[in-house]
Amino acid sequence: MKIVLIIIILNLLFIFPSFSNSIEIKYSKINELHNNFCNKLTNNILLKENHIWFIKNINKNKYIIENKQNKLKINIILLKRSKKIQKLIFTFFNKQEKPAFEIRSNKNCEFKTIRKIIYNQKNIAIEIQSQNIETNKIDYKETLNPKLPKGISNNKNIIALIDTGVNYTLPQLHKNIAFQNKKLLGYDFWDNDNFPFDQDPRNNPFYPRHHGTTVFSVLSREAPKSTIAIYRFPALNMCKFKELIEHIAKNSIRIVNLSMGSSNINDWLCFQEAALKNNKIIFVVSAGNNGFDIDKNPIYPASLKLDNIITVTSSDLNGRVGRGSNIGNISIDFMLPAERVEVIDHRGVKAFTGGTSYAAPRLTAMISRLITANPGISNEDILKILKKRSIKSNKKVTKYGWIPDPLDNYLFN
Amino acid sequence: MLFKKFNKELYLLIFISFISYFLLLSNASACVEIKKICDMLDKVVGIKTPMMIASGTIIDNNFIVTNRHVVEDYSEVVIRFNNGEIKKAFPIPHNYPVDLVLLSIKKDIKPDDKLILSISQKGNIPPKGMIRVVGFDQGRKSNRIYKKDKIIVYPIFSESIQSRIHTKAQSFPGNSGGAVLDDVGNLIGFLASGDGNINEVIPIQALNGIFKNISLKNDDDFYNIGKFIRLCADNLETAFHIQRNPDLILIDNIYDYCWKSNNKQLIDQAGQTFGRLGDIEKSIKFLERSVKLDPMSPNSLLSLAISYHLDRKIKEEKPIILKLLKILPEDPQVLRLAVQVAGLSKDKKMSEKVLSLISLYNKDALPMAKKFIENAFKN
Repeated sequence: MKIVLIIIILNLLFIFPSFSNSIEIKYSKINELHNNFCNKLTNNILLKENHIWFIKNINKNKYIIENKQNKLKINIILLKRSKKIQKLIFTFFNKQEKPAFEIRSNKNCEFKTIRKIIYNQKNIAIEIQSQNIETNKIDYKETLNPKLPKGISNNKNIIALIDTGVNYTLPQLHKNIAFQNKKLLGYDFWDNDNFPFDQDPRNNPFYPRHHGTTVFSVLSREAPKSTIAIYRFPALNMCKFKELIEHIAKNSIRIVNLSMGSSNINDWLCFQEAALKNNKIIFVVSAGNNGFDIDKNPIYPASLKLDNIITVTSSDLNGRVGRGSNIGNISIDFMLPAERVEVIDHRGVKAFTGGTSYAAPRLTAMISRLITANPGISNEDILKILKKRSIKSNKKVTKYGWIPDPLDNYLFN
Repeated sequence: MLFKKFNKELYLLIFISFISYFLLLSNASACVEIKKICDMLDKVVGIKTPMMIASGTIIDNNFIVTNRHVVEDYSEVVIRFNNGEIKKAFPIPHNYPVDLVLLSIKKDIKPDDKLILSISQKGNIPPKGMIRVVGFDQGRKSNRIYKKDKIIVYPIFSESIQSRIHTKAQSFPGNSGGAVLDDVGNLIGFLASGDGNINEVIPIQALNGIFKNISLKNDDDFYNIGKFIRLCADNLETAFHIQRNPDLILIDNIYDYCWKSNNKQLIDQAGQTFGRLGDIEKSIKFLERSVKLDPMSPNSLLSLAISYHLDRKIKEEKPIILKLLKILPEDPQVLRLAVQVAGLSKDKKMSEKVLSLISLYNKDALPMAKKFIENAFKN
């Protein structure tokens, strides 16, 4: 039995060789392991602990399975409809307990998708690969820290974008990327490196979410003369926001776009301290898309009471609050139309999206154009003009009102 | 010498003051368009009803054109001229089914033959070049000439009197009833609606039908339809705030009032609302009617295609998508639906056409589109 297990594990370690070279994948051993657990689960056979496997049943739909001898770990998630299993997600972890493979199979235990994360010697994820089930070939690769573009230093009218990073390899975005000494201006405070590439692996590292590229595309379209410094936010240590804001201040950047937030104020205490200290920097913050009043249920940093934070929510074209957009007569300053905004996503694909995340860059771009037209303008005067451009509503959903056309440069000169 | 110098300086000061005052008072002086277009700023009014803010276009000393859906069933509205003057205006009832109405500055007057003749002489020829909207801007709180853009579709008016000009020319809520001008400043129509991307204009020729159908005996019908328009708009507004499980009375009201409004824009909106609330059958019924009223309307066609798609009626969706590919080949949403229709109907010719358009307009979406079509053909 031990020998069989060793063989299985050895095969697991060397499984899917085509991920690292072009040799065809050998399915036999991973199939065995997958099929063993999958068949039991789909036939309602309870997984039981034995001398090899430690079984932890987190809930009805989630198992953690660990090999007692070699620490091989597998997570299994069951997706059910009418109490029947429809889909299973197997995640295999490597020796360093990092997610290495994800296999999705159907109720008949047939493979539907296979993904793998490649790590470098320092155990940092460098690539996600997807394998075609029929041909066994890699049909999709996503490099996680691709080579940085080079550009000419362009230090005028810089906007700082703090987000999940940006796909800086897309040629259509290059003209608006800020460069300093021919290097991309910005930093990845999540991974602590110089590659602020767009990916948020928190929900599923095999299918990371992307957000910053779409926000960047709105900024670049609506403030075409500005350049944008790219910062990947410090998700693993939110206190690094201090360092991040110091970096922004050091580069004399006046305006920051922050299309993010959470309900836990502790996440934002260091940010608050740094923003208060650097009170000449304007932070344009999205109000969030929870569908509630953030005066009553605060979302941070949107609800922080700092003079240099401008909080924005989203409306439709008629000035009605967007479905799901947060409101707040005290916490939210302005509302802008952003329910259907054309964006470029992380693949370079043109698409439409919307919500408060896109109301923020629309206002950031508007302020940036205002600063471009009036380089010496004070923060107080910026706010005065924004107020003049807004329409007050009888329904108290924001402090100052709705700006129907943020692309209009009216009152800028 | 000193006197002369003083005089010179005083003269200069008075001149600058006059110019500044003039500049302040007149939008036209800051206008960068040709004079005929700039002059139009003074021929547009802001309109205030109990329900909305809109625009109107002055076509004569006594008459203003705005949208029927602006006036609803009100017997008077408030208008604001570009110089700030505020007056009342009165809708002139008619029974011609286009979304326009004449407002008169004085009660109980009708357009004279001279005005009717001048409008009837406007040809039904698509203007060359770009078009632009002149309307009341809620943000600026004054009239504005908006960014020009191209015409996407020019209607064949004889085929359907409710068909419209569809354009990418910029406009915003509050511009409804505003003037639409060609490159030389000719009035070609009146803004009716839009989604911020594609906007709809009623051609000026529609006024001829209104002139012929003005009669005091139309009053009741006119105000009845106005009431349906208002009730339809009110119920659509209520539905906007509902995500799911709407009240059945609300659904019945939208169905009843919007259908009877006979207004292309409201029928469109009702169809979209039913689709959003998951009542695809009603959605399709309304959107099919909307497309019948305006067969080349990109917004109506796209909404109908989406409803067919949700109802898995690929066969019905296909001709709509093919039409949209001709009208809006660059639209990401049209291209995405087209990929799915081509794949699901296993239409090789359509697939090739869509992939070539994607490589032209959204090339980074090509790998995914190809993959989808390959898989669809395999299955």
